[in-house]
Amino acid sequence: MILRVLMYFGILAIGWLLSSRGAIHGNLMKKISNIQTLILFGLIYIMGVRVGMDEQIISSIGQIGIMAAVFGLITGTFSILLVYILRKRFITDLNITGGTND
Amino acid sequence: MTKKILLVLVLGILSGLLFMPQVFYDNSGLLMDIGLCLLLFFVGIDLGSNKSIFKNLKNLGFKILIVPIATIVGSLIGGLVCSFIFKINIFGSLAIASGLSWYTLSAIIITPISSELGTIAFLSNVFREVMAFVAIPFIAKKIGYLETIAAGAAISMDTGLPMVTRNTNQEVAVISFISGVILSLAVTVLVPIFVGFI
Repeated sequence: MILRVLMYFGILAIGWLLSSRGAIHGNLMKKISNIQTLILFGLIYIMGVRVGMDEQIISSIGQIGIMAAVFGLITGTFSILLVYILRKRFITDLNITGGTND
Repeated sequence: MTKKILLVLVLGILSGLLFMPQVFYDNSGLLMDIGLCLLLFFVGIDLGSNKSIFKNLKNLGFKILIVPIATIVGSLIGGLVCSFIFKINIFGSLAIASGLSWYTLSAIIITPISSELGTIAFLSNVFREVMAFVAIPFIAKKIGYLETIAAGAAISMDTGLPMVTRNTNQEVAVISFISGVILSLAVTVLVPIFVGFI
């Protein structure tokens, strides 16, 4: 896992360094948003294919799928709720929080 | 964006169910790794083009830690609530909640103790990741930027990072990566601890 984190950090750092030193061509900079969207959709598609082809997921969805879905929903919702409450209290920079602080 | 993501995801699931050959599944991990590395490279380019990011983040200081800590505590509260709803072992429920979207690791650690809890951990964390992908554009628009990190939890440093970046801004992308690293490390500590009490 540590190697993976280092690899991700290294790749981010290479992109950051190249860009901050002006080594990225202006034309590429303009297209970056579209390229990111394209790759992102590709990744989501592959993720979907993996879910569809994973026998463990498909076979267990019928038995405990609803329980697992509720579990995922509740844990995610409480995380969002707590971050929302605490960032309203402690973080006021709208550029970072998005939304509103009132 | 949410509709498009949902559409692409459903198309992927249907393709996997109906006609995709096994060889695609065998190589899909490599494909995802390549796509993810490319995306992270472009996220890095995005970050480098904005000179004020680190200055803005420096002003936040240790407040950055609010996001991963609140995400973990929120998930654990959610796990407690689920243990009462479904009447399952509290520590088993907390172990599942500690997966924080990292479905492979949490399921691998829990399954030797209980295959049922392991399967719930696997599926619930898969669902949490999928729900995060679908909900992040909505959360960023209607609730706030930092909450997008809480939705995806541990995936905020890898697969979720491009989604956060696309729907928020560069400062939040850096917080997302840092939070994702902390949350992933937390999974490796919390799941075994709670499994030990089952």
